[in-house]
Amino acid sequence: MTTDLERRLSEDVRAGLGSAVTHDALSLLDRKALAGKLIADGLQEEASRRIASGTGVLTSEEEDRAARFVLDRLFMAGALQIYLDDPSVMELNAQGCDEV
Amino acid sequence: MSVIALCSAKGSPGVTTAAFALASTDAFRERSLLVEADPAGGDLASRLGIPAEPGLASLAAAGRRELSAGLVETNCQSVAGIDLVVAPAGAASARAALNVLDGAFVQALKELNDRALFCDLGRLGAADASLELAKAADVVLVVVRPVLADLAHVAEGLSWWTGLGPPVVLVLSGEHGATRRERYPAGEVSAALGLEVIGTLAWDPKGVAALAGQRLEARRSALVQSARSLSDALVQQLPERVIEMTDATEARIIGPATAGAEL
Repeated sequence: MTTDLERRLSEDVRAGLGSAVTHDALSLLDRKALAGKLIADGLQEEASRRIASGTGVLTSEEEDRAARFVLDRLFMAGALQIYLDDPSVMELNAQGCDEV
Repeated sequence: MSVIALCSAKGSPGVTTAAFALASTDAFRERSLLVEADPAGGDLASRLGIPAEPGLASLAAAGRRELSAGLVETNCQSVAGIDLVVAPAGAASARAALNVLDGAFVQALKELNDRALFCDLGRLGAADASLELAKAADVVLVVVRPVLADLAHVAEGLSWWTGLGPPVVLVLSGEHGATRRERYPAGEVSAALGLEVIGTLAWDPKGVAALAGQRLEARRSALVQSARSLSDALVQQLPERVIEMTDATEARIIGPATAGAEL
């Protein structure tokens, strides 16, 4: 389930990376670093928005989860990455792409 | 580092004005940092005609995961030589920012060495987000209009106030809305409440405007003159280590030669 925040962050990062990539071929490491920076900026904007509207900010865990979601989707195996990283998962069966 | 908390028991008797005027006095100005931590929302930005950010809200957003003294400094604005952390005007966002900053705020502020920290806490109540700041203060100044209704509020909550920890003293507000006959003299207030009255701040809207605008006439205003004698009394309230720290500038604090020093 993608949240609004995750969708917004993904768009920010895609837009930021897109403009950087067309000008110069960035290495994967550079692209990841840039994405991290764009995500941090997006999360800070989200916190500002939440404070301005008088609601509480996201917990560190919620922010980390959103950041990870975006990075996984762009650079790793997307929704499957969390299972690939989990040593207790022995096997992954993909039976279609509808819900991935 | 000295922390001076200013708050009211009821209404708006001029806490923000008192904080700004005290922070502007010769005794403190060069090391003043005024933090507007009023959960009811801030007045300073609109009064001084400055933007609300950088300020408390941007500090909370940037420091939501880790707060440092450096981050506090980068979210200051400077007006008339005083560093300010202004609160957003809206109560909801001011409260949200204070809740985010929470206990880490006190820790970060304590790392600001050699600073005189004036915390405008607005009206202080048991559930307020700014309570931790009051508890961490070297002295709590309760700004109160010396009229029966307002003094009764202080009297009622007296044990709560003194239970905060730091010494509690009163500053009488010359705020309008009370006739001379309704006002109690400092001696009577002090005797009735058992709290020291360290001075009276003049009600002087023109003085406030002159001070904020760094205008020359500010130095002769009733506000600045009353703030000056208040700051002398305040220095006596601060712990010894703080007074020692200011020894070098003592001549500037009490010396008659500089009594009308530049603003």
